Amino acid sequence: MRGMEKSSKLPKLPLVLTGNRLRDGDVVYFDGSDWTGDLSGAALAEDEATARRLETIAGDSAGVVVDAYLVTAAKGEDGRPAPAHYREAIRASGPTIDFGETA
Amino acid sequence: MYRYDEFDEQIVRERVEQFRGQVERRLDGSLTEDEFKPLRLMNGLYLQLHAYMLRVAVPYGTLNSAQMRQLALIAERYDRGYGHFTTRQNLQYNWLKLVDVPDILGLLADVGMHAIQTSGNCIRNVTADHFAGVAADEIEDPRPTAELIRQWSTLHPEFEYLPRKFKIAVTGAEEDRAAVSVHDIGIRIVRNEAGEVGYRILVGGGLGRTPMVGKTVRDFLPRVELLDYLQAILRVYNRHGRRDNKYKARIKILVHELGAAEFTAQVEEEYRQLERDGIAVAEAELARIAQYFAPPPLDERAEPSDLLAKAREADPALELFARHNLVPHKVRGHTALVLSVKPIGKPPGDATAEQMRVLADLAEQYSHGEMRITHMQNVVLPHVRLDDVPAIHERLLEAGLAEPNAALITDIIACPGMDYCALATARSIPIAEDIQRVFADPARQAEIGKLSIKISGCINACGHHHVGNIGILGLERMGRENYQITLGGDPGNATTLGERLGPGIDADAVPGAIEAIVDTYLELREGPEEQFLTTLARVGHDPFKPALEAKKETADASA
Ligand code: HEM
Ligand code: SF4
Repeated sequence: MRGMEKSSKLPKLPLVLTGNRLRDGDVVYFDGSDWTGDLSGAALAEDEATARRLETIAGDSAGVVVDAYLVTAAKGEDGRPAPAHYREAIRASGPTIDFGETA
Repeated sequence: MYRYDEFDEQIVRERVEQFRGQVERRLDGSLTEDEFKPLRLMNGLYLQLHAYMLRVAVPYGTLNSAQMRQLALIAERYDRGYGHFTTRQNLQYNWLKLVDVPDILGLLADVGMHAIQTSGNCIRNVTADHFAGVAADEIEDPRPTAELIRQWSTLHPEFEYLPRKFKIAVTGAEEDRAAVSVHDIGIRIVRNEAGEVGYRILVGGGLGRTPMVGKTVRDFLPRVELLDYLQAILRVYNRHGRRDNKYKARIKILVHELGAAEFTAQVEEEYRQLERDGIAVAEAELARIAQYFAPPPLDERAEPSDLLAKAREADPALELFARHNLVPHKVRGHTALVLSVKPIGKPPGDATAEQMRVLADLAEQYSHGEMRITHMQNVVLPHVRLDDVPAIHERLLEAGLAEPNAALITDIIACPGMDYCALATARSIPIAEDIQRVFADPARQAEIGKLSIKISGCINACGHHHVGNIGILGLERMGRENYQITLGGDPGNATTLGERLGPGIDADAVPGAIEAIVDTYLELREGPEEQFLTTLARVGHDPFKPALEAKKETADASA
């Protein structure tokens, strides 16, 4: 897990908590009480205290989510979280290419 | 074809049940992820960006129709209807759920397949020339040797926890199509002056972060000594390989740090001290295994085939296909047919369940039930009568597998890159697709001739970019994807690593830059017979450098 020790430096704010669900590997985000597949529904931590709370949740979630980590997000115009990096954009929306039956 | 014996069958079944238990214990919380991860990796199961990815072993790339149909069934039932053929002659599923994997492994076991040793710091599945047993330039079929090594290395207690993963490749042909000198151990079947068949052993090749070409440690090893000699190499590696640093742990680093001469001396010393009682066993075993790989009964037939010649004349699409996708077979009147899994503008190596079934049917009807997966991410029907090519071509057209581009510029190798891979720094597949579109015209491809483009989405080099005539490496620069282009790589007999052409460029500039490189080559080559690498060796990198700049401008201008 990246940067999960208590004293660790946080990624740049604002950020969200994300990981892959253990059972099926789906990308999930912490929405404040549960995990959701939708980045725009994630809880956006804009200050350090909130970010640290998310960090604790990451540590406690290992039974349902694999390798949960905090990652910088953008704040969209509607105030909801959006990806700040292309890696997170691809995680959030899936491969950028046609695949399988649609290819 | 080789069949698992009861012993193998039992091991595989036990592993499936063992893994089922491990998954259950992970799900109920009795295993932590740290405990579970090495266990799932040992069964070929990775967690990627969007889902679990399972890597299914296809030993030396050979599989039969029943196995291919089972792969199709799994793709349909548990994935999203497709699978991905890789440069390791494997098949990967991209969209699996952890809870389904034990059942999937069970289905694989039903057809003698598994995912063992496709991951982890063990001896990985041995790869071999995909034209094994077929190629006209072959001294001997490499698969009995590969299989002997597989049996010896499978779950070998001494080599389950090596400093790092360990890859072995074998070729028995004059032309190295298995890229043996970029493997940890490369084995070439050779004949000595006395006419005896034995092995040349290369050690310490590899790609990845620190690409190296393997060094010959033994020019001629008598055949019966193979396993003992490999044992000596692995013992030296196991003892001295760098376990302290993952990036320095591959045997290539050890060979490099010690120097080839010192490394060889240590291996020879270790070898002298080995108790060699395994030899007779190996000899008998090799003979036993070789029977399984006995070629199918093929009758010599007229060559060239009148039927095919007439059909080629009548059908330009077939003509193109036959010109590029047929490979000479040992037996007159036959061919090894390359089915390109590289349709223009689609992800290289992806095949749908429907396509897999077509492949299985064609293999059954026309190729003695046998197929090969190539490290070029294509499929081969190894034993086809020339007379049957027109009928096969028709079925391939319907299935979208008739692209006449084998070994041409659109026959691109690309790793999954950031569209799937958790380690990626950039995407590979869309770059491959864009380049394919630029060169889609078959006449233009034919004019360019053989030219390989290989793309990796990070420094791990799964797409073999170092040994592409044109290599493309996707990196990140200031929050954007950035691509480095290398020229001059060659995986074959004269293994060469490509050299960087210049600074990295943006994704949208890549197709234009490749086009400019190819145009420069066409301008400078001394004739259509002169291949890209020959021209490059003659003129050097300099004439190609403007390609990076010029095309950035046109890309900017059109943006
Ligand atoms: C998508 C998940 C994948 C992951 C996580 C992955 C990971 C890696 C890593 C970490 C290395 C470098 C190992 C080292 O140098 O010690 C590597 C090397 C390699 N991978 Fe992959 N890989 C993946 C997919 C693939 C695919 C799809 C292919 C085939 C198309 C492939 C073929 C290779 C090859 C041939 C190498 C050898 C490079 C060498 O000789 O060092 N990998 N992979
Ligand atoms: S080269 Fe990198 S991006 Fe491509 S598959 Fe390998 S690890 Fe993933």
